[in-house]
Amino acid sequence: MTPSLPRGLVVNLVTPLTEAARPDRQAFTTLIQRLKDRASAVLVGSLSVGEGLHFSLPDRLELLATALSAGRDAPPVLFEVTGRTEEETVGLLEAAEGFLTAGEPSPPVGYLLTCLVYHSNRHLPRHLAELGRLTARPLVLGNHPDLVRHVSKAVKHKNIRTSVLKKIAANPQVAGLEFHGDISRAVHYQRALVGRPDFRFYDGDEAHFLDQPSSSGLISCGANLAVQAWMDIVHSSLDIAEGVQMVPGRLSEIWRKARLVRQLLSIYQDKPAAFLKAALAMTGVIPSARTADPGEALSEEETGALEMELRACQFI
Amino acid sequence: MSRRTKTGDKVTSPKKPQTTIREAQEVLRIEAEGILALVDRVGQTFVEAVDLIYASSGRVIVTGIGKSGLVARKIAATLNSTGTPALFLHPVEALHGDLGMVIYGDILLALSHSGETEVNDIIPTVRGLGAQVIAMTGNLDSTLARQADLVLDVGVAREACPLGLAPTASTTAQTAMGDALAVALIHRRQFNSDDFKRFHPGGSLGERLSLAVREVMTTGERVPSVPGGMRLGEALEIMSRSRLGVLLVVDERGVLTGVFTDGDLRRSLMRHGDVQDLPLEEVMTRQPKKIGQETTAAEALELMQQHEITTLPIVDEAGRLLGVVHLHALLGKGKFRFNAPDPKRP
Repeated sequence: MTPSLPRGLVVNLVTPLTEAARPDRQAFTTLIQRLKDRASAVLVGSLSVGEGLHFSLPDRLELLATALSAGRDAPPVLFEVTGRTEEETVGLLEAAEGFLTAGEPSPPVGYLLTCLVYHSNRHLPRHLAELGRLTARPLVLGNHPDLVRHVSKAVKHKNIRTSVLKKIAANPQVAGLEFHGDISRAVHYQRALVGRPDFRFYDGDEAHFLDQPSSSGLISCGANLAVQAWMDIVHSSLDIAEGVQMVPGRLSEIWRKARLVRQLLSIYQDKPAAFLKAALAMTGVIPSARTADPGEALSEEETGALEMELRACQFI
Repeated sequence: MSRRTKTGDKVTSPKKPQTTIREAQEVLRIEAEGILALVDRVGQTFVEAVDLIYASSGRVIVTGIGKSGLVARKIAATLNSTGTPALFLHPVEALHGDLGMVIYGDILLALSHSGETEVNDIIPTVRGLGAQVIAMTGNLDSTLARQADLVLDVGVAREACPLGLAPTASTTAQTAMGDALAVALIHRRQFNSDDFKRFHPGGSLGERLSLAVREVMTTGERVPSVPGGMRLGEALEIMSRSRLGVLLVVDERGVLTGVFTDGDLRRSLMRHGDVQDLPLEEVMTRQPKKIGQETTAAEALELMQQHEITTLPIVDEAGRLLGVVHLHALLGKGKFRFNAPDPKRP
């Protein structure tokens, strides 16, 4: 039986880099150590802020190994295995399985697959069934139309079609979805999967979660920087008020934190990896703000604006 | 666009009306979807919950805290309005003495979206008092779900309110599930003879209802059967003597062709005035309800309830009259009334 996925805050980790543009293992460990008590899970090597597609297979495996070695109480890991092609994806999944099977006991691991980057909706259920045969671990689908548009301009459909999702979810190994998109599509997806109460719908869009939270949780990149605020907001949203101790000032505290994360979101939403790495570097969490794609690096003007914002929010 | 209040303060709307409308529509859509998702989750557990409440000798004690507590109050009120005795129990007050209201045979209906509230603290004691527990929760892995005898899943995929400031779709789902329970119980409480037998199998009534009607029907000369050509004046004398309130009209082969009841008599008097000389076949009800002699008393009773009649002719395969059964023969005088409201009463 496929283990169920956690509810709550999943931190979509940035990948700190060395001067040689390789993943910085030490900085990555520091980043995870800083987050692990507040995150329900971490997402490693994502195609979005994790810049996964820029790294070689060994480098991506190295990221997984680092996340798993973050101590006995390391949080569960969601590892993005999506490659640019079907072959790359299968290769990375097989390599990860080989590594996990041979290694020490580790925290639970699941795989994130944003298949529309390299595969159309046609025969997608069959493709996922084939991937599922390579592992017994839970699979989480990524529905990220902007990312698909950015990486693979030729792909006609940027979203998983609802009927296709319904077929895919007939496989209990597919246990969740990272959702980006509009509320109508979210509603259609939820309706299609009504027979799967165990299925996790994670919001991948932070702004969306702030307005209408999914009851499974959030995959958040902003939590790299403001993990406490995001954790409080996610826990507040998932408890949905009834079980929360209404201590004096709780309401205004949640509003204050929501305002803070919205303010930060407005700064980093266009180039999240670059802004978040720069912010983490400014606050001394990681040594370098280097991005895998040099074209993504912040301009002086952007860096100045970010610094002002961080000072205003008392991060520095 | 701006306007001023009575005190002269300027009131500005930071959002376009379309944005506000869209936001409201999204809230309603999310809440509607939350309820729609419940439709497919209503299954055997729901039936068992209805059975449990219906068969219980006690009351339904509804409990919850926070917004679930408010929904619990509403569900208790709805149950009371629909014939299921119910009480609201505040879980914190329960721990300070109010648990005394729980008695053996009660059902605790515990509401909690998260399944991790103070409601859990009272469950062991409630169980000790002999009450069974139905949980209504959105978290099937919760402490509440694990402690309950039955779990009604009211989980929703998404809330409509930001930041968890207030539950929205989840409390809507709880309310709707509470209504579903109350309405299902209304239907169960409509008199159903099979259920009567099931819940009173050892009673004389339950025993009698399991018999075939041939064992309880009136036969022979006591059956008020008359030919269709008989004049009404003469027929009414036979009707009065039989004290069944019905005449069974047969042809020369003994085949049932109609019935004449007290109701038919009233209608005839209103329509014709003097009815003494009218032949029965002109005023009788043709194609009456009838049953075979192997029909069970329970089925006969159900047919009577369904059509609001008190007698049923019994015929053989050829339609020949064998006898008649009256409601009183099935139940005994004064022990039964239909649930259907009497239209003559205000």
